[in-house]
Amino acid sequence: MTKVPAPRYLAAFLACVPQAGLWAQIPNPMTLSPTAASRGALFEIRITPAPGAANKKTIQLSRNGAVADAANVTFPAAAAGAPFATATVPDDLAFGLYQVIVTLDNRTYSAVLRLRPPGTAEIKLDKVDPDHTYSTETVWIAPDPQKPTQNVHSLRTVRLTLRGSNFLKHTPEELRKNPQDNTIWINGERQWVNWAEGCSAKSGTRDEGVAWGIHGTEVSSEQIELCHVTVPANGILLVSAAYGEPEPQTDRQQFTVYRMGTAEVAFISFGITAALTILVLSILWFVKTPYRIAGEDYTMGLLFLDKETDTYSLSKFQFYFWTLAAIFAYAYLYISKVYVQGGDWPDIPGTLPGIIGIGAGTAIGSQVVTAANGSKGAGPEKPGYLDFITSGGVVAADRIQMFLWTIFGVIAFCVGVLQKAPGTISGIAPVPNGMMYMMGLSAAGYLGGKMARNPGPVIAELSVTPAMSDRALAKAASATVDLPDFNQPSVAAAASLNGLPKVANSNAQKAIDAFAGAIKAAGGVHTTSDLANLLANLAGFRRDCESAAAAAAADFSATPTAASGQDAAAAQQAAAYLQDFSADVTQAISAAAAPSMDSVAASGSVPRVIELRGSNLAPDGAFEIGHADLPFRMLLNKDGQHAPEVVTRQDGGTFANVLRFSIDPAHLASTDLAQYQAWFGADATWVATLTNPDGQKADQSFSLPPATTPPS
Amino acid sequence: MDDLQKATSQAIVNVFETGRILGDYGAVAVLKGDNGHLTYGRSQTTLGSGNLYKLLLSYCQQPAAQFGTQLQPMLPRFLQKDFSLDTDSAVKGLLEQAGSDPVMRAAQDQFFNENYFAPALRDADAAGITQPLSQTVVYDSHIQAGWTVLKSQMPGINDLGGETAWIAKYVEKRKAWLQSLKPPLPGTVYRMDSFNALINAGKWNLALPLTVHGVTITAEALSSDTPAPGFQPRTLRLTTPYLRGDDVKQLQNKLNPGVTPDGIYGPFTDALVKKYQAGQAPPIVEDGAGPLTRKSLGL
Repeated sequence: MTKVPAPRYLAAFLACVPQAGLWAQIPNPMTLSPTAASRGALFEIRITPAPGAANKKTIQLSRNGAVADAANVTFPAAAAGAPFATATVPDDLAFGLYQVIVTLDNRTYSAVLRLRPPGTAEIKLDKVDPDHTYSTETVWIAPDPQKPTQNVHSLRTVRLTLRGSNFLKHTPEELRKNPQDNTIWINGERQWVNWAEGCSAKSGTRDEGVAWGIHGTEVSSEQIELCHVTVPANGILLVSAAYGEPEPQTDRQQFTVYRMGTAEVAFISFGITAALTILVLSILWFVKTPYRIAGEDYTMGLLFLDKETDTYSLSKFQFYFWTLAAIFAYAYLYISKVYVQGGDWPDIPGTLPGIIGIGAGTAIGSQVVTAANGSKGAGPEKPGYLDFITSGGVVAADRIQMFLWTIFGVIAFCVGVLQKAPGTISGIAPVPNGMMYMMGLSAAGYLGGKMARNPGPVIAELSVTPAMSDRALAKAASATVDLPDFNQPSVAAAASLNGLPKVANSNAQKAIDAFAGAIKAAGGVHTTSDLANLLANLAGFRRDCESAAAAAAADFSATPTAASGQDAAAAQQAAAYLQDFSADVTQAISAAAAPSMDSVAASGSVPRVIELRGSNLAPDGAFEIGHADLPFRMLLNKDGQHAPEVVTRQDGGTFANVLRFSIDPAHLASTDLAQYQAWFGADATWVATLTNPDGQKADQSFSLPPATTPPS
Repeated sequence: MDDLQKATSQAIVNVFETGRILGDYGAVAVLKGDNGHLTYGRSQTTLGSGNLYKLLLSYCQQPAAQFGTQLQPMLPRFLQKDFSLDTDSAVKGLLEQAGSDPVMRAAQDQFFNENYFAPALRDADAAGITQPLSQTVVYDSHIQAGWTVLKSQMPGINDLGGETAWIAKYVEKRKAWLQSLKPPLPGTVYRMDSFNALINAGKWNLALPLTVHGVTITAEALSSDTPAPGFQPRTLRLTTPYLRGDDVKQLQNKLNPGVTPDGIYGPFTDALVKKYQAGQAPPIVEDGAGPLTRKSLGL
């Protein structure tokens, strides 16, 4: 196509085409047949009335200031029905609308010819499906050669799959000649797509960028892949296609690139929910003094604790759980609408007040029922997760169903929220009426069960009087230490020692000295630690003495004289006397220990009173200490009955606020006495359990002696 | 438990109580406390508990009791737990002398058997404890007291893997318990140390000889120096503690005439026996002074 001076043609074409009225000034209207043709196709030109003869005749195709001569131009002889001229479209013209200009000397005629692919089928672009994405690709763009100071910069791009019909599929050679036959518009801007390189083009790196531009692949006549498509600020891409330009184009199809997907928004929503939860926990951590139960501090557990029973509250758990679910759902909606869709702050969805209302209503209803009907049983002394499904240590069906429905309901609700993508979500789907009905029924069942059930025992305080173990009492009763009396055996041993003859043999003298040393050692016992060492010392003296006596006897055997015999006999006696003395010492220790042992083991048990203070304490309940029954036969109340004593009766019922268990070991059978001594004989810590007739129970630990820090 | 094991079991507890294998039947002591006061006999029978009255009553009812007529008038004071007996030297002297009376020894043996040994075996049997050493542990806990308290704090035998493991655990627990009590009870942990030594030595059948608290128990040591009719005299050997008795004195009179015998079979007496045995033709080859030596000496 030959380029001609632009001013002349622009003045002629651009001035005339848009202003339809100027077409009328062309003296001989010209028509083309056909008005649309493909490359190399023949078209006829008719001019009515026929123009006169001319010396110079040219036929050219012009667009956007570019002009090309028509090929194979002929001017047939004038005849009826014959065209003024015929020509063919050049092979290298791009598709689009062209002005065909016939110049006859100084006269000019023109008409519009559409250059398009062969046939009549039009390109069609289907709706993009899916019409959105959350994933983008980063392409590193090389600096503009005209701006060498630029650095490689990143571009957020997206990959698009266009489906439709009648897309052109070119060979590489065809692409080289006419690379833009499939023409793409995005947001009204024609895109110069690099079809040759296709979507296998590199995305560049931080160090080595690539040229900016969209790449495309003609997959088939029904599919085109586009990549490196720049994502606009609002994320919306309006895509259309055509054969060449400017018109006709297909309908614009919208494709949206959202900033975040479901996972990201869900994660942030969860983070917000967790942060709010941590905020509450932090307040508890820094502000609240720990709540102490059986020597253990509870800080975070305060959220769920029912202080009346020291148990975890199911209604509180349900309330909190639904509240957190509602916060999560609204955070998800808010982020989606405001940050993903770029919309306004969404209103609270109508379904949230409903579910919060059920949780709050259940919690309040629970308090009302407790106030009217009495608390549940405290169960184990320390709160635990079992509290959610038990009442006073007994598994409660109404609590299980509510616990399960709460867990299921919250999970189902959150999963339902996440089913809506952040880019398309418009609101929180309402909880189905049936589900709301079921949750309400579950709460009603829970409150009904709470109302129907008897109140359970709660032990606020347990005291044992006397508070010390039998052994501690025995120790306290005898402040002075009774050391064994070694006087009698020492006197006897000293007499034996003095009765021994003087000896000349050194071994015999050693034996006698060892005996004397043992007597002296026994005389030196003044403290309990002296006593602990005495037996070991005596054993040493005995070994020495017996060895010396054996040596003296050996001396006698070697030199059997009367003198050596006397010495050996004296050594033998010394060893024998020391053996006797050791036995006497043992006997003295054993004898001295006997009464102490008697006081500990036999008659050391004293009567005790165990008093429970709390609420809903059933006098006919079962009482255990350390999981061993305290049978009524072991009790003796002030009326002489084998039963507990109701010290303070609870208003309007059979329960007691103060219950007393009196036990006198003097009246116990041997097996019961053994159990009593096992409980109270030595310092220990026990867990007492009162189980009401309906099975609800309460635990309370106590220790002998009492702990220095009283339980709260 | 056969007779020898029973004698060994009682000897072990005798050693714990009196330091002697056969016990000290004439031991008299005065102990502090309401349950103590005057104590008597092989296993410390106390006036305060009323058991001393029961023992003396049993003795006095025996026709052959050498001191029965002298003790009979005093029985009401024992019945009434008259604590002035603690300082009555005449009564204490009489009791010491009665300790040498075989009838008193038999009475004490029967009394302790009925009141301590037999109940201990019943309790052991009820607990599934059958081995002689284990039964001795139980017997010791009955003599010293505290079995009921500690037994109730122990898990079941099967829970600990059987009797031997249970007894070992019980001995360990009892030792800790004794150490936790007020003095002088911690001083009696030698009982548990001795049991631990026997357990570690595997002496579950109380096979002799065995040593407890520095005392070696042998068959001879369990025998009396005055054998019952029809029984052979015991063989005198060097043991720890040394054997004593009239049979030793008779032996010493033969071996070392002219010198007052001390009745102690110690290293000197043993040297005399060996010297005598070596001087015979042919020499007598025998461990200690047994039948051959006695026959040679004309005993």
